[in-house]
Amino acid sequence: MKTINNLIRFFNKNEIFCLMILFFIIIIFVGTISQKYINIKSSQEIYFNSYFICFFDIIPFPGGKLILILVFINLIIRIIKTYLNIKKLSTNVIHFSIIVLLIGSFITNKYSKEYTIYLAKNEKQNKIKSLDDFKFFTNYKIEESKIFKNTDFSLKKKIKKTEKSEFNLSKYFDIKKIPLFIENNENLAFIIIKLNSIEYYIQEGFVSKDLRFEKEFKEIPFYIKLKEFKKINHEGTNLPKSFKSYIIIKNNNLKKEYLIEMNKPLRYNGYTFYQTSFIENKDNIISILTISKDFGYFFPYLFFILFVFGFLIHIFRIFNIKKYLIL
Amino acid sequence: MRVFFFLILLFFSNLYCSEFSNYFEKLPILKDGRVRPLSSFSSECYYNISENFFSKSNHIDWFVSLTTGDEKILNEKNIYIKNNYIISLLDIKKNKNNYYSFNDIYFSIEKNKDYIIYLLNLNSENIDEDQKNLLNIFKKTLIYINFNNFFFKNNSSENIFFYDYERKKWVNFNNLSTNVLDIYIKIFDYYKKNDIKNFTKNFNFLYFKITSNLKKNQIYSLKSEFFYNKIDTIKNSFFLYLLSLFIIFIIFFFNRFNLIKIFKLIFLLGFSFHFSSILLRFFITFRPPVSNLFESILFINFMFSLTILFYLFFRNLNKFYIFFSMLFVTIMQYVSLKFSLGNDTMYVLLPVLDTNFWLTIHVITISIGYFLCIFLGVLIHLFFYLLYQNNFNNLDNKFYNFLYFLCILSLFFVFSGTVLGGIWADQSWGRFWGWDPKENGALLIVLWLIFTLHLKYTNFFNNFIFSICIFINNIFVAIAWFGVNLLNTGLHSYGFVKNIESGLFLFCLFELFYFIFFIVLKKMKKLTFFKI
Repeated sequence: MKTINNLIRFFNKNEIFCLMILFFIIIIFVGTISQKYINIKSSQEIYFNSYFICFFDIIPFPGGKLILILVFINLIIRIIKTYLNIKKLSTNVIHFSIIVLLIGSFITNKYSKEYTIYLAKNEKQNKIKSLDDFKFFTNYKIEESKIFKNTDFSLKKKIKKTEKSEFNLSKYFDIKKIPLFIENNENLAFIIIKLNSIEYYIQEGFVSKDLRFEKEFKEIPFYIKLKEFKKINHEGTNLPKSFKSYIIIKNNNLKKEYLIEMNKPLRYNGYTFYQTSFIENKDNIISILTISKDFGYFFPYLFFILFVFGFLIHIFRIFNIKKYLIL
Repeated sequence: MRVFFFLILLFFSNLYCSEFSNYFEKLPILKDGRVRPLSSFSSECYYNISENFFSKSNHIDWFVSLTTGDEKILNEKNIYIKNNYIISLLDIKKNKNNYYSFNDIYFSIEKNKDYIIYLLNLNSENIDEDQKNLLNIFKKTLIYINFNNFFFKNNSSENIFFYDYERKKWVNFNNLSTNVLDIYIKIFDYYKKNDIKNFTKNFNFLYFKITSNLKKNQIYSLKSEFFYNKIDTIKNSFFLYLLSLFIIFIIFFFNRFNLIKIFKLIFLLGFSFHFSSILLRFFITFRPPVSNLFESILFINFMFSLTILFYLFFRNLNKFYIFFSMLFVTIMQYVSLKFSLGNDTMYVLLPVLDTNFWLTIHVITISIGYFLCIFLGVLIHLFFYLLYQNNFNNLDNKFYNFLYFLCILSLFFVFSGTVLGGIWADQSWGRFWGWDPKENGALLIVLWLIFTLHLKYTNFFNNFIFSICIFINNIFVAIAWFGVNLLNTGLHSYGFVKNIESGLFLFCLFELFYFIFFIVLKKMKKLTFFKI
């Protein structure tokens, strides 16, 4: 009990909070500069999504995740400690709003899933393709398997012209795992399987009777049909001015038409549909929608309401404005 | 009297152009998806070539002469080349004023054609500064090549469109219907023959035919943009601010308080130009004037000049504050002038940015936040100066309170703006936060302000440390506003800039020297700081 009390006393200190913020500033500064040299996802993984990092491979430093957890604990303790003090109402509301934001980011980070769907005109689908998860199927008895979501490979030996082509690329290439690129189509995923003590590299999209490695498809409880895709260009250019999809959602016997366009997503049945892009063919245009299932999406909205509320109380109630506006 | 004469000269220098050009500059064209008067495009081309806002000739006169095949214009020295490497590579005789004619450099460019093509095929990261400069000169000559005799060429490759009122659409000059093309050719013939009467008649007919087919908002924008170009608001406001700075310097350092009325008048005039530039841009683009980095500078600078106006007319004049603010406003107006030179700053937006709701809600909120941070920054410079002078007397506690109030207000606006930006990102890209450089930059200011405010409550630090933290906040604002754009990475590509590293470095150096000069020297004098 004494230890817990000591810990609470320790975390309740303003100095600890300031130190954490200072650490976070350093992490963000370094993490941002690093994006010039490494891609944004790698930077996220190394600096913001980690518990510890090592500067120059020697100096240990708390990572973004650990700092945010400590800030979260600090804020919780502060609110509990000052909970009955009405004078601290505004501060507590502001601190509580930050807690709400941190909880939201935790839920999004842990449980959100992203999918995509490609729809041609009048096409109807109820299967959406995952952007993160893979599905592996085989009839062989494999000893070991590991998935690399993004890889970089180097040539091991040159393929002779006389050699028969094989699906196993491990003969010719060495592959290594690298962090994900922000654009999903830039990532090169592989699965490495061990079969009869031999390693096989299989690229994403390989489909055969006995072996299949591809992105996972999820069945949603309703059908989406693209009624029409409209794209307007700025006059005299190929620059799109706006592009939007008119879709029909069929849920059981209910049929309803919706419009999805940039900055106007559709929230339906726990899924959010965003107009991401399009593919223009000779004959038709395919609309690309990104779908996210994120239970934490409303936390930033909640945070904002609480934050503004807290600040307004702080400025107009606790402050004597005349005292401060002197210049 | 002299000042007044100078001001009139400054204003009318932009208005003056030949009688024919007065008409030509109104001519509506479609370029890069935007209907605009010809004067916008001609100034873009001219300033790209000359790189100088002190133009020797009027841009519309120059453009009309070039496009109608006037040979004289090819010998006019308008192309700016400063780099010695380029001069020696092109084997041209160095001019003292660094200006060369098209005929001076064309043959040298032709000789180096293969090398230029090789450079054009390289990735921009793999070419050095000298090579970039060479490509820049090549682009300048390309403007001449593309637009020389443009209206009498058979094939014009440029993506510049003219309105065909018979077919009611924008087309390339060579694809205009015969009757419309005839009118254009007539206009240029009368221009060449110097026949103003017939020229005016035909031009007015063409202009009427075009505008009667355009949408109402396009006509408003055209007229507003024509007026915007004509009065050259940004350039004029810069010169007037510069003059105000000079006068306040004389008032401040030579105690010439009789000049205060002149200062107020000139500043007010500069402010009016500044305000009209923002207002006109709103009418031209029909969106809040904060959609790119240039506009954000203009807008934040405008808010800042509002504070000067407030202090000038409604509060006791604090000379140092006015001087420092004037210095800041003038520098920022110069930066915005530099940004606008040779660029279309009202370009069409990507679909994701083309939303007046979010531009108003997010960008204006964060711009107010940045403005408050800068206001805080200028006040802290004043604070250090007063501290050095031991001039504080009764101001100390009140001043700290005011700084604290501004700090909270800045935090509120920057934090709200950042979160609103996150919500916008969630609505358009499907994610609230992506650790993008621009987002991180704003977060850095938020965290530093939180740190500063919480530090005030700890027992280790006094109010003086609090003010140093506010001083450091200036660096964070510079990083978030400009610095992160230098990384040229992330989703906020509309803000990417180049070649401002030295400016950013100079700013940081200035801040450091200011700090050393007023604080470290003070410490060395062993004068005690007050502690509250």
